[in-house]
Amino acid sequence: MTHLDEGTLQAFLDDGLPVRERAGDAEHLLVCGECRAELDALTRTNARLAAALTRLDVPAPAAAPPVARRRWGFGGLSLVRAAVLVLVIAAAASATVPGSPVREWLVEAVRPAPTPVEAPGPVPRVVRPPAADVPAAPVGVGLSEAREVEVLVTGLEDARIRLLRSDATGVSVSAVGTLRDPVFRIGSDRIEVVGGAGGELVVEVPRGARLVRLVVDGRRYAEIVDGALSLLEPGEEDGAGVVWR
Amino acid sequence: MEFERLFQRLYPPLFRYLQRLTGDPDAADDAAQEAFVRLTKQSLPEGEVRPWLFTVATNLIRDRARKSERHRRLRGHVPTGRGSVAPDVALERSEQIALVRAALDRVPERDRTMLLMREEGFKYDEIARVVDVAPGSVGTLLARAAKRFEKSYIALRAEEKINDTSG
Repeated sequence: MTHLDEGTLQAFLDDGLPVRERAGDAEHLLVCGECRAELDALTRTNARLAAALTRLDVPAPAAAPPVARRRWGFGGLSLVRAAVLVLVIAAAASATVPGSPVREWLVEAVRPAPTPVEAPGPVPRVVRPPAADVPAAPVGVGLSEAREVEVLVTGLEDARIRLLRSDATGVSVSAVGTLRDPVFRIGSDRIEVVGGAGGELVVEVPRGARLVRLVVDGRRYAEIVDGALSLLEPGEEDGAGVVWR
Repeated sequence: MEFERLFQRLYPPLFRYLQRLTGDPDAADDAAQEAFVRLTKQSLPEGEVRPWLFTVATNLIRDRARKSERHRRLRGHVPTGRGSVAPDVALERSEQIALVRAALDRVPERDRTMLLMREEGFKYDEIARVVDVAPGSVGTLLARAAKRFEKSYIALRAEEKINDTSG
């Protein structure tokens, strides 16, 4: 039997394979424990990487679109230019009249005198609050020792949900691959995932879980009672757990 | 209005990606702003704006890194990843950040870019274009990069524990 290489398994996780190839690989995963184990390991590595990266995040500065500022700036400059032009024309006309105050002022003004050099004005810049070292929403949460947990998913769009049973000691939920912007909330006996789009949401449950419920948009998808899994919504076994699309 | 809408939608993920890539919020903001300024001179279909912005911003960061690398060599000093951590951050958290940053720094630049782009939801062909590799090799490179990150992270954490107990 030819095994799937790590690149194919990674592409399988990231939805980077053509549909036909993906279907063939899913069939292989159903019968090949070695590839399933490799896929499982890769899933965990990716989830840990995604979770680790969120530790680097800082809030984005409150920046304004550069073009908006520039347009405003050019608009303001045009008005100033127009006003200066009108004044120059008026002054020039007045200066041609002998004895006019403008002419006297000009004669005085052209005498050599030390001219103070003006410092250049401040360059317009985006006002940026100091970066606070606060993490953005995490991409994975878990209840380490809880055995009775409800996982509530609402408003997830265009994403797969994967239920993975493992030897972990607790229930965890992670955004994997291309899943963007889910919000995680955690209580003593529940994990909530609100929103998010694309990619995959992995719900990892200990094999010996006493009671775990997976509820998606108010519908029970799966229930594990004393280690026994019941699928209440039809899912698809793909070698690395049950998947709902 | 259209541009403003694009900016509001794309600036936060672009900043997040660049900040993760560089560990420097100011550099990330500068590159993101510059990329948007350059976008004003372009006429692109909406679907191409996001990859275009990320590509331009990645190149700006690379240029900047090359310049600062020359500068560092002149000074004869290469800072570690830990240098980018703010001193006023709580110790434990700053250590965690330093650990992730150091592990990420051990992943080659190209692979790091690929990992971070994948985290932002880019497709394989889009990632391939930015880092100039064959689309068919993206899965393999990503898998190896993720494993490399994890290996470095575990090794660094072990080193830290040894230092803690010996210190």
